[in-house]
Amino acid sequence: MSTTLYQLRGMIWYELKMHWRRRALKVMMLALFVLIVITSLLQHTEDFEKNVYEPVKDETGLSDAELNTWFTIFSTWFVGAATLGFILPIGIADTIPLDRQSGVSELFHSFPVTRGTYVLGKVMGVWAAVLWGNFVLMVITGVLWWFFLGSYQPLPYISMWVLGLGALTVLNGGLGVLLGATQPNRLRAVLLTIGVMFILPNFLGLDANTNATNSLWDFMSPLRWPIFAYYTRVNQSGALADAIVTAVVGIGELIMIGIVMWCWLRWKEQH
Amino acid sequence: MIKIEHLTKVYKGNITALHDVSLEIGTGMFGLVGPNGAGKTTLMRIIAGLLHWTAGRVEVNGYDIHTLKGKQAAKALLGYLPQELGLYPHLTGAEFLDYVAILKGVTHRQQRQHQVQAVLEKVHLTEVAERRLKTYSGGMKRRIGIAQALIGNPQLIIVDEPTAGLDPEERVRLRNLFSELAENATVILSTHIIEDISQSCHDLAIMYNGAVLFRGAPTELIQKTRGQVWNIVTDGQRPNHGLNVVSMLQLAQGTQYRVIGDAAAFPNAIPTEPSLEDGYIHLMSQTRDRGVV
Repeated sequence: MSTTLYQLRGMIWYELKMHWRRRALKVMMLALFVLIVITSLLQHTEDFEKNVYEPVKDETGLSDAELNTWFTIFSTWFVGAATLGFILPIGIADTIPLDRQSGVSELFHSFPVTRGTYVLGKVMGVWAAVLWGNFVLMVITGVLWWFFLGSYQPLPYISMWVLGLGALTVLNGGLGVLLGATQPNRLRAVLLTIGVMFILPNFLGLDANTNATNSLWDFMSPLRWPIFAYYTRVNQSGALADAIVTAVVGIGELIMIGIVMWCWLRWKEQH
Repeated sequence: MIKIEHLTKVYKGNITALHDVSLEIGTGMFGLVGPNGAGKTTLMRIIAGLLHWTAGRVEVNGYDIHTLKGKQAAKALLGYLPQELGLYPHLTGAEFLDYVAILKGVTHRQQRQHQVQAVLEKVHLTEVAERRLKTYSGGMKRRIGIAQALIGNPQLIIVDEPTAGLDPEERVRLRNLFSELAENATVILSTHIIEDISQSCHDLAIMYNGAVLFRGAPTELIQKTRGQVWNIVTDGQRPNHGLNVVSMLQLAQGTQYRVIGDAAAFPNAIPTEPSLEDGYIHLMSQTRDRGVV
């Protein structure tokens, strides 16, 4: 294994540890868990059974297990997407500025680690920490649903966590760290991320209440609307393809931002 | 071996931190002294590859650190302790050192563990190695900073105020540790504690306003002050007449002043053997009087 890969592996491991020992990620994951439970308790009432469950069952002919699957996904997706898609990037935007403010980056840059490796290690460390949290939540809530609702199809539920919420974690989490890395301090990093996550999408004409128009911006917007739509609308034709395109475009977007960052850091390293 | 030629660093706002500095530093302990703002930290950050410079050339063990490749190669030989050390408060001492070892390219796990244990013993932190860094005292944090600088058997060790905040016993022990390391490596020690320099460095540079005022052995600087240091005991007024008072000691028969300058005219002035601190103060006062640099 090359030294760079070894350094990256070490960074991922220790970043994961540190994120879980800090308060922010624990609070966010706990909040997500509580929100999922509260949402499901509030929704799964007798009224809901009578007014939503039964009519949908009659209309679609779905089995109990299929209906339960839809309910688990529906109940988890909204809070999961809101937390991991919007709160997460703001929460982790200060990852690199924090190092700068505490003086750790001075030490870090005296090691034979290139700035590109440093930023990549930080991004991957955040991914590892949050994806690990997602996995734990997926298992806990998955078991809870089983007791609470009865049997459901685990595969679509797992796929929602891995592909849907996983994609939001990777795309928006990565975006948060990369955007924050350009800023000298924590406050500016958070403000910039808020600007890009909330103000820019609205300014450019797409917010969570509008429908996607299949323009490039719909796929690039940090709202990741097509992914969101795929998990909130049943049997919408073309929704899966749009969600996949969004994920691919999002990864391309991250790579592009990463390359710009890398060039900028390399220039900074030489000047 | 570090070779610095005509190094100049100008910060934004046209602030000159270093002006035409040329130095060659070989194996052994090298002391860097000077008042605040003299340019010591800027010089060390440049050698550590953390800061770019405006003009001149810097080579570390033959690597031109102006190039990215040369900089990375030089960093692989480096152990650096910055003046303001930042640590990861949520890692334990042992974890932090293991992390540093990975980043320094110590890839073999057993070798890494061995090195971590060895440096922890050297800085007397073995017993608290499993405690999180946020629970460490200021002195412990300084020692873990020294420990991380020693990981990876560096050939160049740059330490900025390493003994600040340590108790006298620990200070002496670490000074001796640096001296031991300097047998096979270049150790650049920047400090305001002149005693640390006089007890451990065979070579030193004194900086002032971004330039090197003096370069040589501590004995040379002491030699330059010989005949200029006096003890005067008086129960009257503090001696003036252009004398620099280095210390005052209250005695039963009056106050004993240690002064630098021409005190031969004082009836009770006794010539005294100068120390390195006397040499430093004499040089600085001469420089200020002449308005040099």
